[in-house]
Amino acid sequence: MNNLYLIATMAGEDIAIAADRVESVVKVRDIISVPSVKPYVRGLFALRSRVLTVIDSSHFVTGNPGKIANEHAAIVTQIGGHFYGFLVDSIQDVCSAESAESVLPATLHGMWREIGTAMLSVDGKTMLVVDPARFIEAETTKAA
Amino acid sequence: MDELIQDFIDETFETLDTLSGELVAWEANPSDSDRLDNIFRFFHTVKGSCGFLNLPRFERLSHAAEDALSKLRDGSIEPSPALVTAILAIVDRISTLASALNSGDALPDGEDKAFIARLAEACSGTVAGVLEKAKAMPEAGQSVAEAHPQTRAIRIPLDLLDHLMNGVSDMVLARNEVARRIRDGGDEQVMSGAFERLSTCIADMRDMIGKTRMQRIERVFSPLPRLVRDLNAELGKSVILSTSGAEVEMDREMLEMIRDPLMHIIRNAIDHGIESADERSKAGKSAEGHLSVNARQSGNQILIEIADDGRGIDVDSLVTKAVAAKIIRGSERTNLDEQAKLNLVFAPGLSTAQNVTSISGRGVGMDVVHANIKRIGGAIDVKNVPGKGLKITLCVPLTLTIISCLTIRCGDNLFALPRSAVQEILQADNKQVKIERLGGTDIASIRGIKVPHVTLEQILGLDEADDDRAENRTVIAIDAGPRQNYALSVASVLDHEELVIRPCPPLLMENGLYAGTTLPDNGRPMLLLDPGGMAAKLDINAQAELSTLQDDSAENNVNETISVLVFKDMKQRTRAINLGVIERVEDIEAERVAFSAGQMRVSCGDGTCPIFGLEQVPGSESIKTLILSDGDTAIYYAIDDIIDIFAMDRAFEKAAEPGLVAGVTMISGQQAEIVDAHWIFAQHACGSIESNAASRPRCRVVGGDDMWTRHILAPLVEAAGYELALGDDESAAADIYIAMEDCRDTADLPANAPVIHLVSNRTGQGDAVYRYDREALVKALSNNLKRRESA
Repeated sequence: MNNLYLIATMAGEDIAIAADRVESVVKVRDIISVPSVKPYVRGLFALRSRVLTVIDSSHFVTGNPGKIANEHAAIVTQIGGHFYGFLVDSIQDVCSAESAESVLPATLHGMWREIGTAMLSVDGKTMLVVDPARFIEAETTKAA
Repeated sequence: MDELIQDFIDETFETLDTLSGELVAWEANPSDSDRLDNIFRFFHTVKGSCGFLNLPRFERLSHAAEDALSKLRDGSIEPSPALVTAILAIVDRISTLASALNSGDALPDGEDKAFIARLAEACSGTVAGVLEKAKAMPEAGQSVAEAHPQTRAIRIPLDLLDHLMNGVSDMVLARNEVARRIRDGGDEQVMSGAFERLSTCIADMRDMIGKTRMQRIERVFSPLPRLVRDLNAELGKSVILSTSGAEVEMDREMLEMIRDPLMHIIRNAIDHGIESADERSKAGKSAEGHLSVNARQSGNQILIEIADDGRGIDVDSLVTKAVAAKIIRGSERTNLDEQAKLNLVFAPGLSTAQNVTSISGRGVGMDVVHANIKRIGGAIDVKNVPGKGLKITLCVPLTLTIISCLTIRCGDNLFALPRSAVQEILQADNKQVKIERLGGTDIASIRGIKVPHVTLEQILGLDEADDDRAENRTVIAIDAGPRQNYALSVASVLDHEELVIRPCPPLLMENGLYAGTTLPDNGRPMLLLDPGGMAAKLDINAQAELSTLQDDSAENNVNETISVLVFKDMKQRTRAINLGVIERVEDIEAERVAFSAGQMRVSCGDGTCPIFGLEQVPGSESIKTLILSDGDTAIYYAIDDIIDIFAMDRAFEKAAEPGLVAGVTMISGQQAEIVDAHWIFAQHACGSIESNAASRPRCRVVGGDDMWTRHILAPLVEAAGYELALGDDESAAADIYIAMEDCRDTADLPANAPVIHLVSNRTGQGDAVYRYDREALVKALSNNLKRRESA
């Protein structure tokens, strides 16, 4: 019943995020930088009266800061009562998956393994399923 | 179904805490059948809901408890401590199961039967077995309290919800009106009126939403009887708890924050404070210890007092321990005053306990209590009467969500800094501040007190911008807690505002520097800095040494000096005024100032306040003023600029004559006139005549109630200190009479009553007074007044 996925490009790769995890998709500008935090935390952004923590997903994956366009696409989700905006290269579409999520056949490379949970086939292509909560949880488990 | 279960869990948690308290209260007074009924009803409700929700384990447990209680009710068994303990164990079990149900974990294993069997045994009176089992499961209450999940659901009184709904409708109406005005291209006047209404609606809504966050402090108080009972049992003491002020309301989040500190203080009081029964009777006290916890609201603060009648703190042994723990140096101990010694309780790594028991060794020291209270912008006060008891007062702000903050700039970023931690703001080029480098660390001397100095850029790991030259920067003296004083240098301080603070996501919290996020009016999010977290980045131990080191020398000269604010007045004269009379410093708009009724006045709200030091309305847009206060009245003092705060010798050269300038003192090699605040108040505070209207003598005007008497004569009579009575009410007696010319019936007036006759032509006959001869009239009135007083 609920197999809708948001397809986006993150660090050059097409990935899928379960649509029920996504609050909205917005264009962010005027990101207020926050000093002395994890490098992939871009800063804060005011979405109406809410304050989003903006996370540079491609920086998280590649370790290099991504280029931020003036009106950069971001996926807004709510994790643990706080709102986050994940910067992605671009937003493709919302599609229904042709298959159920299946277990990954190999351990993913680098930081991808922190966020990728499964794979699935959309439009004849196999895509990685990314759980946005893992961006935040990955760090807390490491810190502990 | 899920929703129903969630409701059930919320309701169960809410009642469980209260229930434990009720049980303990009932144990103390078994004849209180109302309480017993309440307790019975709870278990009955749980049992009913469980049957409906298909939760057999809850059902069995509550059924057993209900059974026992019903026997107690009909008197077939007698209450005993063992029985109450067994029922409390069931309460805990239900709480454990509910937690597991809530978090979605597997229900904890273990046989509920054991609990039920225990209860059955307690009912049948095989007490020995029960006590043994009770010992086998120690700390039941403790483990449950820790597992207590944060339920996010809240209950709101229905009428508050109705008010909110009405508020929303009002707001929609106001919005529609604004929309209509905009469509009509409305003129500004009408628009601003509509907008005003909308703003009022929003402000009301904000207040109401604020109320939904408020919760009675009862929530924290209700588990206390249980805690005290458990501690009594564990420590073999007998302590009677009394609480008051449970109806005081405070912010939910705040309640959570004070819960642990409060518990800790109570544990300390029972474990270390209150003596054993033997010791108490030796000291001539009642065998039972008394512990009272009182909450009350005072302004926008909540005060929670925890008072015991135990042995108090042995200050000498505290100081000895502090020296042993190298918190202070041996040479310092003589210099500390009593309160400073007492405050060592809050120093990290110090325990007053003779020996560490299981109660005190729970990992929360008084230093943590202090840090927690300080973090929410509160304060702790300790009053110690050795041998008689200890009173600890927690003073916490009403709400966490709105904090008054300074906005400060650091590079391109703005940050908020809680006002509660700010002691003083100084310009870096001020002579009172000196920054020196010691072994790679910057130390600031502010008026002789040496504290670590750090730039905000250093703490945040930013580059210091080149255009912020050192002398243009601002130094903020921060007091983040005991031994957590430091000087923070920022590029500039921009503003002082009340900000709505929201919690910070964990990703930003982990560096310990930020306490929350906020969205000010400009729509650019800002982070709230955590002064305590920043202090943690500095070496606290080193700083403790330094600040106390400096305290010695500072203390020696502080005694003979007073703090004065030195400023330039409008005529560029350097003047000093006692800091104590200054309520605040404010820039006011020049248009608020006008010369009226004989002096320069500032409009404030509906009334005016005198402003002093100003001969005419200046051309500039705003005027810098000092607001002086004697506790009742406020007087503005217009000045050109503030120079600084100095410590001035109490002795100074007096002026030749009393007046505005009381004398002169030397401040950094320059003469400064000392302003006499008393003289200002004596000159400018308008004595309030109205306040004693009742006691004023009455003056009756006979034979004339026309426009002239009402509007022209009346103010004169009142200014002379009389209350004027007019018109036909002949019966009212008066202290003096004024008879108009056309009035012939003075015969009606009481004999010997003083009468002033008024005439309308200058060639007055006899003692009559011409009605525009102001001087004669006032003289006649005041002569009479004097006669009256001397009589």
